[in-house]
Amino acid sequence: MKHVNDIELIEYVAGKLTASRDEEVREHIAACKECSERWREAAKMWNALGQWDVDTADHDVAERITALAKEAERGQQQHKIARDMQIGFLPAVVRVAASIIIAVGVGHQLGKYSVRGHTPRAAASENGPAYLAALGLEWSSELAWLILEDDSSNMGEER
Amino acid sequence: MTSDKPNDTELMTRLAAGDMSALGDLVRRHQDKVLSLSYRVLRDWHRAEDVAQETFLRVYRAAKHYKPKAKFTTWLYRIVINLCFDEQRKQAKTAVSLEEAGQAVLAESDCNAAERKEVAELVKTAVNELPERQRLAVILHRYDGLSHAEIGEVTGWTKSAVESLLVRAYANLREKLDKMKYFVE
Repeated sequence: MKHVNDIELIEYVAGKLTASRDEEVREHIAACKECSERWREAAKMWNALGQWDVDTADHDVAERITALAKEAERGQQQHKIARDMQIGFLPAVVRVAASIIIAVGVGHQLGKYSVRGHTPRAAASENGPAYLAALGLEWSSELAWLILEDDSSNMGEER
Repeated sequence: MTSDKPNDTELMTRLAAGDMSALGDLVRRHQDKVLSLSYRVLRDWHRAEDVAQETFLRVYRAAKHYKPKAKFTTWLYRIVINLCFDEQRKQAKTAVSLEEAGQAVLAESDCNAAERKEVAELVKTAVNELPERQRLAVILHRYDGLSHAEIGEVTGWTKSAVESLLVRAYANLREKLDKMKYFVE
């Protein structure tokens, strides 16, 4: 006669065997003195362990957890708003920066803003400024874009 | 009469969508098990509450990525056990021996409340005196009702390792409790 092994005996006491296997073990225990005695000891031990009951009534953490989770949610939303604002401003900042760079670059090319900061003498005369003549250029309306407005406050002054 | 209660997966789906009441439902449904498991492993209510709190916060954080590959409770218990392992590394164990706890001799089948409490303390001490892995296996098997396979999923142990631990643990407990001469017939 094959005895019930230890682990299966524990499962039998715990009521975790399948219905068919449970019936087989029960029949064996009824017929086997050794297994019957082992079953009694295991059942006593199982019941004794059940005496250690843990009462969680005074340890409700539900409200604390929900509050912490809501706080974390609020923090995440605020972080998202701040991030979205940064992202929204970025194109505008890039456009302004690009405009400045282009203006400085074009102006530098035109000689309007020299490295040393000199502003060239501006002349508004219809006959054209004297420096055109010095450059060997004859005044015409096509060169009007080269003519700078008179600004007596910084004429010839270093910036 | 059919139940309108949503199951755990449905609650996790709602939580992932931002429904905080679903978190409350999950906590109320499972906190007793989480607390009792944490307490039995850590033997300290303060730490057990901290573990329970952190467990459910991790559930909340994982909601958006949660995919139900196993039972929700198996996943939940795995979080609890891992947090308990972390706590155990921090805390110094102060186990009380059976000799210090005293021995109760009980023959009668009906006990009063004080006697039951004393017996519970002795059983608690007997379980706490087990080697760590045996103790955890017994707690998950006897008190949380997990199957051998589920214990393996939660702890990472093989099924044969779980069975071996349980056999040795229950044999040790039988011996300890027999010495106490306590058995309710």
